[in-house]
Amino acid sequence: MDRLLKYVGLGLVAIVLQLTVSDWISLMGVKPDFIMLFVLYVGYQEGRVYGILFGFLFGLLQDMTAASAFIGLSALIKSILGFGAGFLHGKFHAMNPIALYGVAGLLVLFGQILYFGIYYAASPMEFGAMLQHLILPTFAYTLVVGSLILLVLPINLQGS
Amino acid sequence: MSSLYDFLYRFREYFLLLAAILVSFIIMFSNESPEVRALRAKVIDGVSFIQKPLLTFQRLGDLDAENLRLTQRVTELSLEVQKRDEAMLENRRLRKLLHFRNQSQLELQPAKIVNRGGSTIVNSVTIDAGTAQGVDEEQAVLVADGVVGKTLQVGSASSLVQLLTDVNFRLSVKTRRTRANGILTWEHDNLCAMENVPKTLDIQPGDTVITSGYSDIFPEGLLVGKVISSSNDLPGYYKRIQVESFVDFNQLEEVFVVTESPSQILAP
Repeated sequence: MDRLLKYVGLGLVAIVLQLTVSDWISLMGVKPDFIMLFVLYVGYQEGRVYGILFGFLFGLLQDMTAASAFIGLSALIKSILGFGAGFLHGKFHAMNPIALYGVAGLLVLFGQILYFGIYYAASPMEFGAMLQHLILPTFAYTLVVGSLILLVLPINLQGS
Repeated sequence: MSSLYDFLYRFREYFLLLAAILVSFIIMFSNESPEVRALRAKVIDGVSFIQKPLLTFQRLGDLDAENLRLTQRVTELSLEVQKRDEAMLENRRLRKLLHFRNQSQLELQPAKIVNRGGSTIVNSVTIDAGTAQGVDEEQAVLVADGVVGKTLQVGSASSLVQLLTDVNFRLSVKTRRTRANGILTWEHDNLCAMENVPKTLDIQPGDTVITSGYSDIFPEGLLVGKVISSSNDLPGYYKRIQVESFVDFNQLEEVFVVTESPSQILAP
């Protein structure tokens, strides 16, 4: 129960960061995805079930705050990401830290491709332009912010 | 029964994922249902409630610089107004001569942007005006530079505005010089595509693009942007036209909602 409350609290912090800080530090209209980082963290720390549940709930909350034509798209993507991150649960000692970081990075990239790919499916925007202007900038920015958070905050990655 | 339970328990993560995917799709396909819209309006009000104090705190730091900038701007505008007064007198005289109908004014409700949405790209903003201020769904949102977007969801004291930079936003536009009509869709950054314009029409870089007026939301003649490229290299009947919006969507702070729009206003 304590863990559940802890993650609900962290999720709410991630939502507030997404609504405030991400806006203040946005570069050329691109913002880091704090909710995605939170979902990866929950999946990694607690496994797939928590990853899916928190991914779905906080993805849905993120959808509700944007004029997205697809309420439910972030919920979908974040559920899948939480599930994917759950495979990393308990792998701290079994995996090389660089490989662990690399897989987490690939999950972020996969999440961005899926999100923008579905969101812009009906638009005339070509995939190359989407990659250049949306996917890669958001991916890189999210990864940089995620790395900074890991460096600055005393986060225990050895699992609970 | 026990083996079924074992099976479900063993693969619970997969069933949970499947359920999350299914529910997500159901929600995506019921975006327009009254329940989802009502829930969204409540979330927007909640976000606005959290955001307002933070915004006030953030803006305190900018007040000195803004005060200086505004003082300078007031001086510039005073000089400008003197010139405009002269032009207005001349304009009135000419209008009378041409028997133009009196042009009605747009009713504008000012609003502050309290949030730029939880999405990783800026395609929506929350403003601090809702039904209590006379704002309704599907109303045009502007700044002095041009069209910003339209209200999508309205709460009691705040509203969600869909920006021109949203991929699902379509705006009926025309060029001011040649009156060529087209549909504006966002491409990336501040760039949009003006679609469905036949190759035979004359459109040049630098042409100003305005709203066409073929819409219940946007009156005719509102500034939108300028053509930066026009070519006939696409296969088919239509030109490829790129339009740069006059509005810098990353710098928006205050906007105006057109709470009552006449069906037609004169194009500038």
